[in-house]
Amino acid sequence: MNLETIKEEIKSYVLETIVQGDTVAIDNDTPLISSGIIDSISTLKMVEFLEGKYQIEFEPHEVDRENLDSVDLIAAFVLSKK
Amino acid sequence: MKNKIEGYSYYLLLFFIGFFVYRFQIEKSFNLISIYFVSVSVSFLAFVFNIEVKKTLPALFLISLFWLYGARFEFGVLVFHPQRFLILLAIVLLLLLVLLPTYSLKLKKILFGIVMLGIASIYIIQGKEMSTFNYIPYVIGSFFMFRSISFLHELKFLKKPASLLDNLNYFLLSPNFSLPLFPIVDYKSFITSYQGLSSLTLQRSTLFICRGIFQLLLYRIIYHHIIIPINEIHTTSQVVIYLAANFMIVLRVIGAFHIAIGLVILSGYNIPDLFNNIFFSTGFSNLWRRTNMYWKNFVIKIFYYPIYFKIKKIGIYSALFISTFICFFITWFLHTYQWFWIKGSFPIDLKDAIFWGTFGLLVSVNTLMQQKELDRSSKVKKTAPFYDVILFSFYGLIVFFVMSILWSIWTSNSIYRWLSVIALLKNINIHELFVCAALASSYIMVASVYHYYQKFKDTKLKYVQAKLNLLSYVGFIAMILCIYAASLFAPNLGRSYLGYLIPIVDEKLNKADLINVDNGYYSNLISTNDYCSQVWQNDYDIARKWTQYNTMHMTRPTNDLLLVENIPNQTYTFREVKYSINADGMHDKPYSKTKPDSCYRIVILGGSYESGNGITDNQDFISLVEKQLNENYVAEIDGVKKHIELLNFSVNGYMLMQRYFIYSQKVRQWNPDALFLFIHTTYYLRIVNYVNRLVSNGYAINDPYLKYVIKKTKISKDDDGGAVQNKLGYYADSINYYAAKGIGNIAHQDSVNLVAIFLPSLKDICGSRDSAFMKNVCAQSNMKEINLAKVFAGYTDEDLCLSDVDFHPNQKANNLIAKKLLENIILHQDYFNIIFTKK
Repeated sequence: MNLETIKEEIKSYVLETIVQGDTVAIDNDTPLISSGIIDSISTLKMVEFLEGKYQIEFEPHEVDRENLDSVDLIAAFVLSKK
Repeated sequence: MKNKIEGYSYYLLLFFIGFFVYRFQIEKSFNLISIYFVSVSVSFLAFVFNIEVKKTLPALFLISLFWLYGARFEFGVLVFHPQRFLILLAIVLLLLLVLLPTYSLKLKKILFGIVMLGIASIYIIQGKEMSTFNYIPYVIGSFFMFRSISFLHELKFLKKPASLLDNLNYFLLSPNFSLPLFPIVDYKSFITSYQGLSSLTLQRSTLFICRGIFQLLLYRIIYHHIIIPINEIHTTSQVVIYLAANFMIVLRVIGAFHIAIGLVILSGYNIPDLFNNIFFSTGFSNLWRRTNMYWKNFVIKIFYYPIYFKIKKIGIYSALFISTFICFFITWFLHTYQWFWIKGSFPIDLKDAIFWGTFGLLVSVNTLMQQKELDRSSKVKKTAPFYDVILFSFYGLIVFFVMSILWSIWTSNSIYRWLSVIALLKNINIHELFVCAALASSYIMVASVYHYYQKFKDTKLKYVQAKLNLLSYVGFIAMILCIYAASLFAPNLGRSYLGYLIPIVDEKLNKADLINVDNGYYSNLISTNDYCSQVWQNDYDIARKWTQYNTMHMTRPTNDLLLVENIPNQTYTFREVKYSINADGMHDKPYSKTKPDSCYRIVILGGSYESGNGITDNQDFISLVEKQLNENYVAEIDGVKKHIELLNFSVNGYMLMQRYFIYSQKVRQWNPDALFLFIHTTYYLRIVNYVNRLVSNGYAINDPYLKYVIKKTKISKDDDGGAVQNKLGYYADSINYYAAKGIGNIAHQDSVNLVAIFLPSLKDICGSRDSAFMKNVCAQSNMKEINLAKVFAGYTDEDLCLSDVDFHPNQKANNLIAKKLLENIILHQDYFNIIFTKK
């Protein structure tokens, strides 16, 4: 599993599950948490998705902007956990 | 920054805004102007001399600490208090020494806890009122109470330790001095946010400060022109306006927070946004996300995620619901915790439980519903934009209304009082319904424009909103210029529309708070614990200053119709001056009870004005008049020279009924020749307060008329001030009439020359009505009249009041009253059957 594939899967998840019908363009570096596109609850749902999809486990302190603020950051974090 | 000129233009704008912070007295009571100018000036110097701005912040902290705690103006003279500055500095250094060096985190937490407990114990030892060392936990608490938690939490997980300078700067945020309840800046966000003085930081800083000032001016409009004093609410639409306006005064907190964050950004730390248009929230969970995002993120990071991860095995929905609900109880506790540091007490009451419990439940349920809805609609749905916009606005209206109700419970004086206001909602009629519908439609229209803009705005633009929004703030500057220019003309235009601007450009109390001050509400706040409001600044600021003056208890309860009396043979330092009570309970020099033959004795019945509050012994207007009469005039009756005595039986807070009782029980024995009954203009409110205190204390009411009124009106021990006012109705006026008549009758029986002296109140609240009524009452009670109506002409209230929270006449005002009263005594000497000749 490479970085680009992970990015595509995460982007699809964000667009389909979180953003849904909103007129929001998501690039790999679009800020997700700091721009308010995803909130704390959606973040937890995304964590659940990432844990299930990539068989990783998050610690509470890892749920923050440093690891989850963009598709790029999320993908890098997922890869580092594997 | 590519272009230095751009930087200079921002600083020019910031200094220009500073002038308005000064002129409009923005958060004057918290010394914002000092902190603002020091912060902008230090940042500007760093910019001009290319110094890394974050290196200047410890110096900025020291300057601010010294200016606010090491020096102060006392009677126009700069006085230094190095001991306060040094004590605070030593404690700050001790705490930093515990927190910053690298050693066991567990030991660090224990040591820090011990030091903070030691500081907190000052409140316990000293008592919660303002006292010698209570500034220590107040200042230390406001700087360390939350940031230390964020810091200690993050230390464990930091991948790369922050520099010593960043750590110091995190704790030593100077804007915190002007805002004790400071936004909880996240440690990790702070240390990773430094960008120096760039275009972006200067833009955002300017934007936040402008936004904050705009919100504070809006708050003042609501505070002065929209909020209705609770006693004046009679209709359904007034209740609705009262609820909405009360919720909207949270703008003061929002505005102050924006200015504070703007000043932090000006020091190069580009920290995130704080609020997001809370009045347009589309749901309760949405409101929680938009309200004080720093607070929300703090709670989420420190409590919510750890709780959620611990219980997520029970299922995501249950875990979300339980974690959210628990976090609201934690939020409740944290609010109380912050009150402890700022105020010295740990207020817990039913109103807090109702507010946080209901809000927590609404957010938890709303969160759950939204998630289930999202899960159901797994496919991308087609949007119907205009339908969505209107729907969002309706949701917003519901949230706004529910939050207004919750907020009004939280900030009410008592649940009983709140219920009596809400009960008025049932009196709805067609006209009221129309007014309420118009108000709701106005909200829907404004909210629709907002949601339309939000929906169709490009997300990327949203991210760089600060850059674009700056242009709109040119309009803001133009607006404050217009308000300022118009306010310059307003004083000359009387009660014209421009006159409405005056309270907006100055920091003044509104009518409801003036009434509260007049009734001693603020002096009771700290002793009653009835006080826990997020819009805390108003109450707290006033109470804090007021209690500095009110900690001496100069009267004692009498357990009868007088309620209180002066404690004889006492000398106090009261409101910073020497204040003495003689052996007979008068604020006066000693007199012999047996009247000498050569003496013409005038007794004074009055309240706090005549008691000379805040005026040093023998300099109050009564003493001045007595002195000048004897020094400058020869008084004769039938050719016999007389020495004039003015015996001051005034007692703080005495209204007409108490003056009647003290006259009949005590003053009469002093055998006066004349009586000066001083009349001001707020008796209607005072009679309500008086009856309320009599009944609630369960005192024996042995006056036949008072007994009759209380029985007739069914006033009971459980009634609060509002209920007593409603029940008393016109009887309040009749009690005053009865008291005036009683004084008139005794004076007539004793052949005493009775003169009613009408002295206007400073900061008059409801003067004209009371004044006209009392003149009528006095005339019917056979009193002669001296009217000092124009005694304060040519002066503003600010020139003549003791302070901005104490509306008693200062020395200048006492001199004016003495001069005018003396003139009138000479002019109306026939009232006293005496002839005055100038020596």
